[in-house]
Parts: sequence; structure tokens; C-alpha cells
Amino acid sequence: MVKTQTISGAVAETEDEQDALLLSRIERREMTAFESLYKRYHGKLSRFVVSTLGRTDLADEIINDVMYVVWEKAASYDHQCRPSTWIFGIAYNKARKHFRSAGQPRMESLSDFDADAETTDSHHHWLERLERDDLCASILALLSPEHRAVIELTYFYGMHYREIGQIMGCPENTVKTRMFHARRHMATLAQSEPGTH
Amino acid sequence: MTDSENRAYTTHDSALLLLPWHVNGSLDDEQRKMVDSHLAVCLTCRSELNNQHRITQIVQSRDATSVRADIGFAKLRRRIQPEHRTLFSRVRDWSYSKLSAPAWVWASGVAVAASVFMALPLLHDPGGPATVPGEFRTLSADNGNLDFHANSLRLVFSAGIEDEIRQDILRMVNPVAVTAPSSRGVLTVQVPDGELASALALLRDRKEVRLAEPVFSATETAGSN
Repeated sequence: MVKTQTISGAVAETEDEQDALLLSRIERREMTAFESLYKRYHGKLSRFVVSTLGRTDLADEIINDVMYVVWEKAASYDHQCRPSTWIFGIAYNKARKHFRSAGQPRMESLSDFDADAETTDSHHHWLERLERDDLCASILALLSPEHRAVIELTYFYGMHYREIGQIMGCPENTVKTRMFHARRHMATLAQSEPGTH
Repeated sequence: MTDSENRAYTTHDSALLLLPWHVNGSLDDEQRKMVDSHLAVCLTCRSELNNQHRITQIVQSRDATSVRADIGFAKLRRRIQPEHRTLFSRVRDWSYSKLSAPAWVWASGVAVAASVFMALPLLHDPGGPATVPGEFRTLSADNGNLDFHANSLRLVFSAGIEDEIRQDILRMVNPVAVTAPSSRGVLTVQVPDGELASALALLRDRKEVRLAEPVFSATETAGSN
């Protein structure tokens, strides 16, 4: 990993430390630091925004809106969470404005949880269908943006559900139930997809 | 259901809900141990764990959309620092805002007429590439003692490129000045001193750029013998 030397001579070793250092330099209006942070996050935010919204045409605009907020509000980062959590949280809020009304989530609770239904979904044959990339993409597109965000942040970015809750501004249990429902919807959609049986 | 059965069922539910984060390795030690101990006795959860691994692979193998970071940053920098806009874009914006449509058309007509007028002498000079200050130079041409302008380059975009993309590509090289395109679509771009090589490398890396070459002056008559 590339180590970053601070002005005071300290070395930022982890990605979080490097991000925090860049944010403090951005606070001092250092454009080179901002460019570095922008390039570090561009790919991550691009994937997250596209996956969550299911649209590619808005990615550029939303990423720049997010990073504009980072530039303007770097001083408000309070170090209570990881820099990436703070930045992804901004991205999620920006993306939310573009959620389609059809994609609005219904109220979910753990009372919907049914372990038997969850674990006996046709012996998971639907996963074999899901491994077809085109089917996977079309099924993910049918999920709500909230479900897609949870799936992406968990399986691709490897985040803890607590961190995902911070990003999405919801309780931890909501993250767990969204994941549960997302999994169940994916199974249902894969089984009902025409031509997959 | 006994208390013991209730506890087991609750543990099963909890473990099942945590499996996605067990798979991505983000659980803390206490949670991981709880899930691990339940996995040791629960076939259902072990089966689900395998499914979770497969889902992870499926999601991670999906193509990520790539948007060029350099172009995006150039746009955002212009938004943050309006003074960073290039001379080219300032002239263009001024033209659009200040000239009415008829005046703009009129000005374009004058520019085209002036170009044709200035090109007339060239039609009577069969001197070839070494004696004519043309826009392109072939490798086989005798270049003689050409002057090398250390900070200017000629640029030709591919056909059909949107104006916004052209502007973004130009911004990548921090142009000091940009001439209007010639009748053959050739732009002459002046870049900051010492940045010609990097500018050429950046431009040649773009699929939207058909040609990027340094400007050579051919004012002398080298190679005419």
C-alpha cells in the first residue's frame, strides 16, 4: 500500500487514514488533494450509483454532485465514521433523489421473516439461473434501489451492516431485513423468469 | 416449544440473517464465533452459507461501469473554480451570449470568406509539403531545418464527437490558447511550456482524437533543392 506523508511527518498507512488526511487538506482548499480523493473514489462511487439506480446515464452527474459536497463540506466531517462511510452516505442521499416512485420500498419488518420459506427456495436452483449475467442484471434491475444498495455494499464492498445502516440512514435491523427481502425477491424473480426453467 | 428450543430457533434466525456479513468477513469476533458455532450444528445454514458465497461471486463478477475520472474531474473543477475555464470555452460562451443569431451567422460567413481568401495563394504554389506551411506533414517529406514550437500542437478530432467531449479533452491539456478549427477541422493548441510531450501523450491516448502532433514551422525553404 502506498504510504502518504503528512506535513507533520506522520505516515498515513491505511486507506482510511489516507482519506482522512486528504479530507483535512481539502478543508484547506488544496486542489491537488481534492483531485487525489476524487480519483480514489470515482470508480467506487460510479459502480455504487449505477448499481443502486440501475441507470448509467446519471452516474457522472451524481458523482460530481457528491464530490462537490465533499469539497464544500470537508470541514464538517467529524471523524465519527470512516471517510468512505461519510462519502458513500452523501452518494446514497444524492442517488435517493433519483429513485423512481415505482422503486419505493414498502415497509418491512422482521415479522416478515420466515426461515422455512427462505431456506427451501426450490433447493436454490435459482442461483444457477442467476449465474447467467444477463439474467442477474435484469433481476437486480427489478429490485428496489434500497435492496440493490444493500446487496452492492455487502457483497461487492464488503461492508458491515452497521456501516451500511450509517450510509443509508436506517437502523441496523432494517439493513438485515432489506437483505433478507432482497434475497427472497431475487429467488422469486429467478424462478418466475420466462425461459429459465 | 421449550425454552431451549426457543433459544435454538432464535440463534438460527440470528445466524441466518448474519450470513451475508459472515461471508464478506465484516462481522466482529463475537458475532463470527456465534455464527460459526451455529454453522457447526445446522445443515440449513451451511447450505445457505454456500449460496451466499455464490451470490458474492455473481455480484463481484458483474461489470462495473467506467466513466472517465479525468473528464469528470475537469467538469467539477470548472464548477468549483470558474476561472479555471479555458480560453476556448470562454470565447465560445462569450460568443453565444453576446452575439445574436444573425450576427453569429454573419461572423461565421466572414470567417469562412477570410479563410478562402487567405488560402488562394496556396493554390498557385506547387512547392510541396516542405515549402508549404501545411497542416500535415508526411514522414517521407523532407523536413529540412524545421523550427519546433515547444508548446504548440495540432489536433484533429474524430468525426461526430460531441462538443462537450471536445471541451473536456481540451481541458485535460490545460490549453493556453486554442485557434478556431481550420476548414479541415485542425485545431492549433498552445499548451503551457514544458507540457507538450505529456499533452501529446494524453491526447493520443483518447480514441476521440484522430491526430495530435507537434507544430513544426516550415517558413524556410529547406529541401527545395
